[in-house]
Amino acid sequence: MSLWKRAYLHTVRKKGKTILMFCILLIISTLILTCLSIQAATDTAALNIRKSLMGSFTINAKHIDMQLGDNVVSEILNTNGITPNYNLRSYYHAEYRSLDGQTLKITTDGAVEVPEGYEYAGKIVSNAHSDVDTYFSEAGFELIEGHHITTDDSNVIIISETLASQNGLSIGDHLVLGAIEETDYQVEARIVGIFKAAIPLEPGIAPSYDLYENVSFSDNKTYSQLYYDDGNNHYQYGDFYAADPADLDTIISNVKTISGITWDECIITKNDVDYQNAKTTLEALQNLVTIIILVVIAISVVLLALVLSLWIRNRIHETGVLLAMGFSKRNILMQHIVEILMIAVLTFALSFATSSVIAQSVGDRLLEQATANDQIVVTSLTGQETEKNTVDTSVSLTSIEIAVSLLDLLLIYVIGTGIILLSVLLAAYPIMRMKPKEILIKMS
Amino acid sequence: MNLFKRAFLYVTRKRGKSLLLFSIILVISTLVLCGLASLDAEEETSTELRGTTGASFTVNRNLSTGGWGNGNGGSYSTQDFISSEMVEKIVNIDGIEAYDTSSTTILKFYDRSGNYYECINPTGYAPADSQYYVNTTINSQYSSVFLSQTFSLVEGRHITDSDENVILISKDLSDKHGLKLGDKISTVNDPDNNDPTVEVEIVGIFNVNIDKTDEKNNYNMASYYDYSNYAFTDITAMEKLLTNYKGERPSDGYSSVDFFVSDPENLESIIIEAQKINSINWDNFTITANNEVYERTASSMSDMSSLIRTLIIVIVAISMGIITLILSMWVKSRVQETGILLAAGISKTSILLQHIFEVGFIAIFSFPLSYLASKIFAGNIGSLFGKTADNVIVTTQHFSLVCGAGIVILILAIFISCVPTMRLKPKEILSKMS
Amino acid sequence: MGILKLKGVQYSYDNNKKVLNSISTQMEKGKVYAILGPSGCGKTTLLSLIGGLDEPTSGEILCKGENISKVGLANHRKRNVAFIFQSYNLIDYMNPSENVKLTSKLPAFPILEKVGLTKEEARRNVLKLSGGQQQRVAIARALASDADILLADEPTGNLDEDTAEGITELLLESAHGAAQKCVIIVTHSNELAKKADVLLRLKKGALQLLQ
Repeated sequence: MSLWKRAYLHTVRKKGKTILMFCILLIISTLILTCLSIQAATDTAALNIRKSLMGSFTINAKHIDMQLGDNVVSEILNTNGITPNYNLRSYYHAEYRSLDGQTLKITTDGAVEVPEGYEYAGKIVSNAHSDVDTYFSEAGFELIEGHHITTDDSNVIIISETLASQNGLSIGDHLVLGAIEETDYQVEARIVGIFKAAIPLEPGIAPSYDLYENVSFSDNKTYSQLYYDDGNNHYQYGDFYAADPADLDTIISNVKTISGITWDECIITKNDVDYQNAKTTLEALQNLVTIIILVVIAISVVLLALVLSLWIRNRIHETGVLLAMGFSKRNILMQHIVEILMIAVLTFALSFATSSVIAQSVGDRLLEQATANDQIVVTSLTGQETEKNTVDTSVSLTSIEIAVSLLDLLLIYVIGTGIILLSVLLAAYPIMRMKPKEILIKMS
Repeated sequence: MNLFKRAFLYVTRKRGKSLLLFSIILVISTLVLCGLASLDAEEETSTELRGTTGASFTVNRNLSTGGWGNGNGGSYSTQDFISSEMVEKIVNIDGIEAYDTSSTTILKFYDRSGNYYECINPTGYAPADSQYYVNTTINSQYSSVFLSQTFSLVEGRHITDSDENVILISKDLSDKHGLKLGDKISTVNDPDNNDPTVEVEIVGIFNVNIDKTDEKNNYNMASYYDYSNYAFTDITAMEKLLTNYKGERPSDGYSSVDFFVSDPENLESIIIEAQKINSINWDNFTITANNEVYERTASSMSDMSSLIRTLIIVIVAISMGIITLILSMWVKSRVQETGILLAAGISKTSILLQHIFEVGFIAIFSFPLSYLASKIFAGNIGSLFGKTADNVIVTTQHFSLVCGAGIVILILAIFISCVPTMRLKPKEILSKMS
Repeated sequence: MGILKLKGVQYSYDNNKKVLNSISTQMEKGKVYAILGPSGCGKTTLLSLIGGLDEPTSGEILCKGENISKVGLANHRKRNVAFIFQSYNLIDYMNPSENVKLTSKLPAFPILEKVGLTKEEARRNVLKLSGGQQQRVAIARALASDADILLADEPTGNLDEDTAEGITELLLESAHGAAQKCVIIVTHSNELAKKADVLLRLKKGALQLLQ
């Protein structure tokens, strides 16, 4: 009689034991599957935490001849892990002129000096998105008319309300910017916005072009046209965001392989303080989960082995009889393994359903808690809105799903079979080590 | 023979089976203990995680509700300053970890012989080249430049509220002039005004981490000073340095103070607590909450926390189920014996109690051992993964919980398992035997 | 013609006491050998050695001319011998028919019938059979296998007189009948011993021929 037939008969005839083993295996596999699905969910939660903590890097290419160009920028944006949010900016000085070439009036009160050649000039900042400029986010500038500059704009300018009133300018009017360093190009720009500086600059410190009243914002094309004659866009600085701050280092090294720019001459700065602060603790939590799962698996093996040894010991007579009949130890061991595996195949399949049910209720509980939390909004108890701007980072969080995947099921079959093999071997080991005659002695 | 003796004999004679049961109870209670300890660890770590987001609130003078005066430099606010008593009262609120103020003064640095220390990137204009951008600080660790990692301390230590006449300078500056920790610098505000000189000791040296050349930082006055020419000093020193400037000394009050909380979840309630302090006239001051990092991450963090806790609870619950199952197995294997006892006239209650005591004898040894085992287990796992489970500690509280619940479960399990056997009539059991 | 040959077989427990002292003998098919001797003298050990459950400390055991150690003990047990123990002979989750088919592909019913079991009994749970019926099944299994040698260790030890007689008849039949097995029985029973063809006594490690 083959071992398969013996295994089948045992499983089918010893119903009580079979059902018990079925229950134990079902519980263990349900447990492990639930653990796996929860681990996947915690990984997603951790990813969301990292995403919320954000990470970005800035490329300072100011001192390279051609600086950053569109080719390099689009390759960077195509790099794995970079989000579509970015900013490109340059800082320069230009003279303000009217359309007919007359110089415009700037503010000089409060300046420590008016440098020679800059009597009619101001500091200009060009941005892909002017709303995230540090002047607006940190220095207290507020846009009072018009709109911010975006990548759709070209040859536009945002000026201070002082500059506007001093020169009778308003939204829609045009002025001319004249380059006064390195080149003498000029570019016509249309006024699309007017700002006011809510917090004044301390007097007597800044040169005239740095006075808030003389600061303006332009688009990047304008800057490129003033300083380069090749018709391409040039940028001094680029700010790029990583979807997951944990990848920042990898992303940066990948970016450095992009050709077309001498990376050695650039300064690349990482901005991921929040992530770095939280990193160790976050990893600790994730490690906790891993540990828990490993412990569960280890204990399942131990438990199963203990239970099986209880059983196999009870079958010592049967083992003796089979040995006496000439069945090999391996054959008998295989029979035990097949007996359990026969039950396991069904159990594992069923555990998919049971763990899915548990996963579902865990997910529901989580959802309940989430909506409860939403209602506890942390209010900022003050008037002033410090709009710490975050470059359109509507951080897109991955939604947490607690579900048992088919891959998990496959994993369970594999892990489960491994656990069973291990447990049977552990449990049967003492019996199998015995010589047939010892078993015989135990029998009579 | 009474049931205690029967129980004792079983446990001591059937060593194999007893050992097996012992092992199973040991394993499961160790698992449960580790689970309970992990719940605590999770709580601690999650709180720590929230803490890393660095939530704080800032108290500012409310300029809009104050009056205005006229002076040399133009108009200035006559609003109350934040006094140190006020700060004291707020600091006493539970949950406030630290506080710091920020105000800056331009000071000149001199050595013992009266020569000034030339700053980094000097312009060549002597009066300007001896000037440094100095922050008065109470706990420099909490200064925004250190918190944002713009600066980081590389030697020595931060300034705390117990320091007097100390200073933090940049690495560039210390390298340029060969200054070390412990060296002293003479500082003065405006020597032409007969301002006093204060000698301060270097207790810390910091590095400037950010890209100094990135012009996005050049939006205000502070940027006119190279970051390497920044320095930090304490209240006592600054008090003396500004002796001649009534209204600008630290003792005159602060215009802005930041309070840091250990758990951002409590920020709102702490702020409300502060506003309840009667002795402070809140009309004259504003409070701004700074917790955007926490706000961004709060929901994800609570998700993570819930998940982990649920995981642990599921495991613990299921373990209880397993032990019940195993005990029922154990009892069922004794059908024959039960039959013999019943046939001998021993009552079902007596047999039930016997089983309970058998398990009890075994459990008395398993439970304490599981306490030790879980302590070792938890501790070792911690070292395997770095500092992770430093805080996975099994306490006596956990232990009593497990013992208590364990006993209940064991008794319940035996009861449940005995029921089917007990329901049989003696003759049915006998026929099951042969 | 000897199917079994023992040459100088010795056996000691853990190298101390010599249980079997240089036993040499020959056994043939178609005969019933009864081995008598006091309890604990090594009868079961001798049976174990013949059956390939253990190896002698020195000496050879040849079956069909081949040294069974070389053949492989498991192989030997599978092909050449069949055991009948005093008790616990049967697998409890198989019925008599299936127990018989453990080692044989032959149809079980005829053989079970031959040993006196009805069709209904042949399908019953073995635990529900009487001791005598269980032993009959064990014999049926032994008969159904190809093994030429039947080794029985106190086969009637647990049985009453009448039942024992029936079992003894079966054992004799298997030797003297068509199957011509070599039947070696270890026993206390004098009745059984009387009916054997060859009577051997194991005393102080030596095998003596009686009668």
